[in-house]
Amino acid sequence: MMRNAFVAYMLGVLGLYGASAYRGLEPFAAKRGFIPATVRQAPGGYRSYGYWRGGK
Amino acid sequence: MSGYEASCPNCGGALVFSLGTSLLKVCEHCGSAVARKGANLQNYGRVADLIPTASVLKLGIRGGYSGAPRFELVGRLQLDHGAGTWDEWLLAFGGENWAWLSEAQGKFHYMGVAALPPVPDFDDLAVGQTLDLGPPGTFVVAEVKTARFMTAAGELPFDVEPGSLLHYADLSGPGGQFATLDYGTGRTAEALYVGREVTVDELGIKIVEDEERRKEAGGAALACPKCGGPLEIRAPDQTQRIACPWCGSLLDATKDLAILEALDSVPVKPLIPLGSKGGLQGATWTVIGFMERSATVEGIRYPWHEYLLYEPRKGFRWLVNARGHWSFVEPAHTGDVNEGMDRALYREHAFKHFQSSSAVVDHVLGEFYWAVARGDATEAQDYTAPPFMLSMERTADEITWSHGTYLEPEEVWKAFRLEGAPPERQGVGMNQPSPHTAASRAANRWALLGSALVFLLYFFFLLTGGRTVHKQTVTVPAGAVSGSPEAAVFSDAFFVQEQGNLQIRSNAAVANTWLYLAGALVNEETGSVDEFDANIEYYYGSDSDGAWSEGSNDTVTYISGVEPGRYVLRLEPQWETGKPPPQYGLLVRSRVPRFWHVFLALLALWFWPLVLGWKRMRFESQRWSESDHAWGQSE
Repeated sequence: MMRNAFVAYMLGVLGLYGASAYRGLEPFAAKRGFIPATVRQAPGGYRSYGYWRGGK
Repeated sequence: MSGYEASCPNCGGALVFSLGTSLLKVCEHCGSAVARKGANLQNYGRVADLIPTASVLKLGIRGGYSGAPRFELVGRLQLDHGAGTWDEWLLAFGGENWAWLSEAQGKFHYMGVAALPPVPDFDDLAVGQTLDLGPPGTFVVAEVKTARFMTAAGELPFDVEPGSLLHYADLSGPGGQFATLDYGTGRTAEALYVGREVTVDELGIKIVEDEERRKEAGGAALACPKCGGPLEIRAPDQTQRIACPWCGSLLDATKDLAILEALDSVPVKPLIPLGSKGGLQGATWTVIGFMERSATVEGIRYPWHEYLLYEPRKGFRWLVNARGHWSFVEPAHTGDVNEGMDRALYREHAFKHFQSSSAVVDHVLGEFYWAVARGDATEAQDYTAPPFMLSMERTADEITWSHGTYLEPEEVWKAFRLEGAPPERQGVGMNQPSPHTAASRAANRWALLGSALVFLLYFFFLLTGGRTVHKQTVTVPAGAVSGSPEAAVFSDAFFVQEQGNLQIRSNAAVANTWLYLAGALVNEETGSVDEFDANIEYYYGSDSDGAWSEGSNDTVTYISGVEPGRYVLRLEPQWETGKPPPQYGLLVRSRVPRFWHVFLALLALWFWPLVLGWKRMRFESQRWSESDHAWGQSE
């Protein structure tokens, strides 16, 4: 019983590891945004959050 | 059989020495002990009647042992060392060959004559001492005693007057070997006998049935001389002392139940009634005795109960109850124990020292095969290797070892069909198996396997990932101002073929200055944007302590879970005012394995083993808190 539970747990951990490593998940990743192509194509028209935040 | 025939000097009856080497014969007509003195015979007078035990053996019985010629029991010697009587049987194989068969405490030892090596005199022997006996090996002195030649029947291979005191030492050797150094009536060893414990079945002997022996012993129905209560003797051939179960008085079973200690009431009541029968370890045992013993440590008395079990073919065993923890205890062969500082080895099994104590007999009830008395004390050493225990008890002239196996209380209750439930266990028993050990070990094994698989996967990702998808050197447009939109650039487009993370390595040859990049990874097909920033700074110089430097010329950023597609990077640099904008490089790789995934997986895998290991440690800590080696306590 204990053995089966632990094997299931181990397989779950391995599955999670495999999936997160395969998908390349990163901790504390910023939320993905969407910018229209028209804005993107004008280098000066799109400002990063760093710009508004003050950057360095 | 070759032999010697003569007439009894007392009654004139025929005397037949069946063994040519026999020197003493008890006349079967008049009971006189007649010794051969060369061609003459000497009459030592009538010997006492045999002590009416109900030994499973009888003169004239034949048998065969381990490929040796068949034998016949031709002599019986009864000895008493003050705490009990035992029988030595003379086995004649025909011709001049003979051996001893010792019968005591329900056990048999087959002993053949061996060459006598130089050994210490009787007065120089001490229990626990090791002796090199030559070819038989090195033996441990287990008992050094003097016994009285009580009486005999048949013939014997030595010429000693009945009633004499005989000195001997019993030794225990490797592999279950047993030896006796026979000092006769002197102080110098006269003979060495070496053999081993055997069963009557191994000897090919058909034993006399129990009921018949019981009748011979005449101990079936007796009454306590103190209170008149009926006494049922269950091991009449072995019993030396009887503690009346009605009044608690201690009686001498060898002297017509003489009162040794008179009591008016039974001081303790055994949980398993005397006379109970129970099946344990492959035999049906009868509880014939009960004693309460205790050890006092730092003023605190620690009592425990011992039940003496008896089975005619197997002899005696003990059932020990200490604070609700039960153990089935068997005699251990002293020669098979190798005692170290804090460890003991018994049959290749290592035991850890648990405690040393002085064990005292406080109360007794029922029958005992030795001359037990309240106040009897022994020095005891206990060792443990759950579910087993190993105990040594030592007196001035005897050393004994016993091996115990832990029993679940319910098992004892079931075996003896006891009513109710067993008393609650207190604390953790010395040899109680940890309920966490098996689970903890299994969890460790699975976690190890899981860890190996995680590392295998990690190396797989390491080998198959890390492909470079973009590499570019960026020059900031001339005249651009730090942080201004004019300084921002879009990289060349690049393709990400497989899902995974992206590693962006930025580098710039900054020296005592910095470069900050506000970046965004833009999917040209879907419009998704992942923003990131990269800070490159490098400073160096020298001071009174010498040269120094800090920072680096490159930095690494990771973008999470990037879908396959066409991408560009938008990069908006900032740099130190008054300095020229630095040129910077970008290296983008996809599917770069991250060790933190491995770290988290290992943490998850080892969570349960750590929890179980902690429980196991807590259990062991509780066990050892009762020992001489409590954890966290200096020795």
